[in-house]
Amino acid sequence: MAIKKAFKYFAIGLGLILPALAAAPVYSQNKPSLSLATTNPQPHVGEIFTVNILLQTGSFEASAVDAVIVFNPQQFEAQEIIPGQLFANYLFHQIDNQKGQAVISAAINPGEPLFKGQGVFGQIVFKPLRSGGPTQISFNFTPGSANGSNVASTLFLRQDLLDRVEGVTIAVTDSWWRSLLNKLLNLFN
Amino acid sequence: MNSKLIKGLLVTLLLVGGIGGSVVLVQQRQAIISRALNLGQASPTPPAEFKFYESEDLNQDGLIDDQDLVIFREKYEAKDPVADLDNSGQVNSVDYSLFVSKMQ
Repeated sequence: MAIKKAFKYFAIGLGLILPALAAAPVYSQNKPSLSLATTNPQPHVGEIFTVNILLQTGSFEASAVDAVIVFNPQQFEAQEIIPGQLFANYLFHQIDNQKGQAVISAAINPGEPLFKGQGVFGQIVFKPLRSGGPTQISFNFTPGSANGSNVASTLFLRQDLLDRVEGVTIAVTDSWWRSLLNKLLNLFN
Repeated sequence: MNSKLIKGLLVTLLLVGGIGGSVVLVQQRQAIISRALNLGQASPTPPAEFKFYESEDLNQDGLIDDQDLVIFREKYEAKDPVADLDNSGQVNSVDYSLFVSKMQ
């Protein structure tokens, strides 16, 4: 009788725990993110600077990534996209300086292991066109939407796993000779 | 005597008519069947055979392989809606992952 009762409670417990365990992996794990970083957040006008696109997959494994970076085209000109080393296939990259957008897509080769970890997904070389700011260079990203930036995995088909993005703030200053000229003019005024 | 003869003649006529009519009917039936069969043989186009290919099988050879990958990459780079495998309206990494998962 006691065994029967114990078995009954065990079955009820199992019925409650198993669905929770099945739902847990996607929601409790650390989801992927994309961020931007630069070593020169205060470039002069005309001074080329590079922005790194950093990928962090968290506890997931990625098979393909799209990074859609948006910037003010009045202030910056994207000159070049440099692919990183994280993925074997850099499928697509495009600069649209009228729209203020740079896109880079990369993926694993079929049959190769998925990427897990963090690293430089790619780099974008910018030229500041005029002083001003601070202003953001950021990602086009809508959570759960196919638009903009995405992180995809063959383990979670038809899903965008990208959870959060972080842009970078840039303040463009006048060129050194222009700063000097302004200072001299101020002295005489 | 005469009436017996007439009856006999009538019965004979009925029998002959009945048998003759049956033979004609059988012949007509056979003609209809053979015409129908001939029509079937003479059909100019065989009935269409429908084959369903997976959307990842871009060259429609029944396999999702390297040849499809080459085509898929071209479509992906051109942002061709053919590469929009999840019908999201966007050609992106989600579509690529779907394609890779189906490769043999």
